[in-house]
Amino acid sequence: MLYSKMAAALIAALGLDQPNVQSSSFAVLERGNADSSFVLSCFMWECLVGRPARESRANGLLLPRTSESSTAVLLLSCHHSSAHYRNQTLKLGLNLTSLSQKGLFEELDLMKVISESLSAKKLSAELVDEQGTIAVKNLFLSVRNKLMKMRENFKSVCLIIGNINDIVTSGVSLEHVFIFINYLQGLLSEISNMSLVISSHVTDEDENERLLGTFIKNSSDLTVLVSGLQTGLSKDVSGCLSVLGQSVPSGTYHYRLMDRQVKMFSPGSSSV
Amino acid sequence: MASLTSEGNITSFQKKGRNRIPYIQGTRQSVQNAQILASSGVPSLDHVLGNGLPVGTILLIEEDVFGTFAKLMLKYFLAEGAACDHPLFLASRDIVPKSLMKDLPLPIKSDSGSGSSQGAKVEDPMTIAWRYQNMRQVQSAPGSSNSGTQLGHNFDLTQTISPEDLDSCDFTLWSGPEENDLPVGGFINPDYGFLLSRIQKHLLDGQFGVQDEPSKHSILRLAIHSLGSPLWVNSSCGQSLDATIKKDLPRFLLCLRSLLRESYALAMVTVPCHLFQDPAIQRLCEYQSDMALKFESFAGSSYETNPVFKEYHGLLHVRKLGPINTLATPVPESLDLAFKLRRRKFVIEKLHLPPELQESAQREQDDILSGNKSFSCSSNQSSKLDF
Repeated sequence: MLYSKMAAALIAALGLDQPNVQSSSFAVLERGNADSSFVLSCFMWECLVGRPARESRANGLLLPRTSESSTAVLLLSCHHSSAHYRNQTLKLGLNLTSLSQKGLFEELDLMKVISESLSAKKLSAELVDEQGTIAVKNLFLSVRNKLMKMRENFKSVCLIIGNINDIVTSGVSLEHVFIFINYLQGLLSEISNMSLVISSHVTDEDENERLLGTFIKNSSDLTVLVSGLQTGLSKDVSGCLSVLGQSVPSGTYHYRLMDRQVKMFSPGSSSV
Repeated sequence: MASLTSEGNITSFQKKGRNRIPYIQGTRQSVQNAQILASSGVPSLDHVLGNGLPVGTILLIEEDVFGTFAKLMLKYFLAEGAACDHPLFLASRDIVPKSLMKDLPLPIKSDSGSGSSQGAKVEDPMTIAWRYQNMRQVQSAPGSSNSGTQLGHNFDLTQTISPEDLDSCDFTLWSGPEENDLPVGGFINPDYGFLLSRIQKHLLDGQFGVQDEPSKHSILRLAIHSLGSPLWVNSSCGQSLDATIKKDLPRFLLCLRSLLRESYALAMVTVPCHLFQDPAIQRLCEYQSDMALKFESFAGSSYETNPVFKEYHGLLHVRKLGPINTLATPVPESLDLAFKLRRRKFVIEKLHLPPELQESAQREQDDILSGNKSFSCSSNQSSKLDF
């Protein structure tokens, strides 16, 4: 069976397996010491594997066609390295290396950009200004160009940004990050069949991160809140996940991260 | 190249391609995701963190009130590096880095403590509780049951490294900017930029990058002591101390993590979080680190005289264990961890309440009878008919 269930539980909880969710914006907020990278990996799995498999089955095909009917993904990772997402999605049965060779996946690793800006290499000089901080305008233009090029070859595109709050940490002002997100939201109307997923960490004691989290949440159609358990760590439950949206019934779940699977279940019950 | 099968027969199978992960002394690969792991210098701590510290990551240690045990952790970390011939980098503005290097403990040559205790138990059979003779012994220290696969060394704090051995170690010390240094990163306090520049240069000169191909791969161990302490204050900063630290410290950790991700290096950074008035600084530092621990020492607190904690010197709080190139993070068996410092060992184990031992040899019912004379109906207690 081609349709893997490794990430299906999370996708079903978010309602992404429902039709007509292509032109939407999603917010993923993480609180405390929880990590939401697995949610982004599930989004990538849905775009690159889940949705094409469902559509091919609906069309009576045994194998999905990886062609102009597929969704291409551009990943802008700010907190984790690109290797982290490649290894994580590999656990879910998704090989990003082979998909990037077909043009279905591209990545922008901001940690690599920061690392190069500290050295004399300056390979990504257009993304870093003279003070060593990230040039947000050039970053937006780079993202826009890549998305438009991918849209020419594929049916739909999805932009996933991991932990955008790290752009603020790297020295960019909060106002510039707001403008950057605003421009990205504008791409949704400029580029047809585009989805936007932005994740951010929210530290309640920090005003900047709180404002950023609120801004992202208010400008999105669906919000996923990832947090740890209030009582600490547990082997049976990795954390708590809440879904807030207009087209999807809101709910609170517990999730458990296993070696090759994400399990979702109602609080207090076993996995279903 | 021919290889052996499990039955000892030689086959002509040849593995395609070369092994991308080089062999580095003092490390091993994780079974889950082939991540290179190195020891922190404390084997029981390695078990808590998931069998070792992943190379390319930052371990943040929130210092105890007097900074004693945080400094001790740095000593173990550096001593482990010296024992494995790893290059060392130590930065501190609070202490003279050379003095800490001179106090590095020596590894214990052979550790047969756990084996001898188990042997003694077998030779001493139980006569009353014979049903429990063959039960598995409860191990308090994490990872003590699989001591055969231990990655790191145990160290003897009473013996320090000799000057000759110290001179043969490859170490670099930093206690402040030098004349020709240039800051990077655009920090408010340029001292963070100076340190970052020095680290970046050291990684480049030592060929610790993952793309580099030196003659012999090794791991650079970065130890940064008391980052963000009041001695890091720079007079050129116009803003308040907390405001400067809140912007510079997480940014420094982000930049350091960016450098380490591309290198065969790992860092242990201690931060005096109890000195910061803004609680957001602690949260932001934990977020920018890959793993975060907090040491709570009993010294100077009411716990010091509490008989419940008489066996221990403090508590260990696991603040964060982030996923490193994997989906699921390892979770310790127990979060109630305490540490105790012995002369030859620093052990982190599950917090156990001491057994409640009565000092009197009398039976409990004898105590009740002797103490409750007023409740008996008869005054003659020696009668055999009395209940």
